[in-house]
Amino acid sequence: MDITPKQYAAALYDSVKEKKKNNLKAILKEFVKFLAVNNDILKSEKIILEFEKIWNKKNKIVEAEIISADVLDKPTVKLLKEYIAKLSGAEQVFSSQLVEKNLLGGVVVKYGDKIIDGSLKTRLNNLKEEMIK
Amino acid sequence: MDALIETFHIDIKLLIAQAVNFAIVISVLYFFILKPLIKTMKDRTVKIEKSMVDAEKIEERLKKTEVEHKETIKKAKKEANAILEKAQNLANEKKDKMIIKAKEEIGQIINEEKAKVQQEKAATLREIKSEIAGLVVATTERVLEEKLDSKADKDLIKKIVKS
Repeated sequence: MDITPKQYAAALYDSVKEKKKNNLKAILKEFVKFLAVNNDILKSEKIILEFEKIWNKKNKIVEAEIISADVLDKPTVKLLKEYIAKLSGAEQVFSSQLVEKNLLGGVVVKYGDKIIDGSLKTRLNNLKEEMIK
Repeated sequence: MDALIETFHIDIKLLIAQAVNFAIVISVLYFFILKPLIKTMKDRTVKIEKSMVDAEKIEERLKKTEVEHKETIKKAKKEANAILEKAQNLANEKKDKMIIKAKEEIGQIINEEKAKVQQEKAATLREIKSEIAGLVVATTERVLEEKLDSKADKDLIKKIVKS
């Protein structure tokens, strides 16, 4: 029977969720052995991604990408994290920042499968579309 | 009587002989000429009468034929007129149909041309709008690049978060 990366990830999460740090290494070793026996080592990358998703969901963690035209200061990043936490219902927000000058201003926030585009570039493009209509 | 005979030197015997001769001549004339002649005359009269009757009949038939002929011609004329009228009606109908079709085709062509013109107009308008919008956006982008400082950007982000 073919086991999907999602199924592997769910099984791994169930194995490690209430375990102490000391036991994790042994569990992971067993898990990798199990993958090798099943010839599913190549699925490991996908399994990690799925595991991250499950872990984040269960622990109410959101990974977000903040894209702005300029480097943002700490209070603004904090404000945005709070905003993301409020929108997603997460307790923790892990964010990465990216600078894209062509955004002109404003911010684009990506988390989960959502994109909040508040950039001036997009606003101007929308304005352009409205003017052409 | 004797005196009369004496005066005119009448010979009774000769007279009788002459009378017999005359009778014979008369008989001969009657039987061989007059009777056949009368018969021939009667026959001819009958023939002539018959011919006349026939002629009358022929004339009557001729008249009848003429009337029939006239009637036939009249009927033929009537039929020809009816055919002509029908042909004329058909031709008119065809003409009307062709006119209607031509009108429809012209209308269709006009509509198509109108639609084409409108499409071209709309495309031109869209192009102009696009050009103007592009210019406006490009100018705004340039202004924003120059004028938008970090404080304004921060305010904008705050506004996004609050909305």
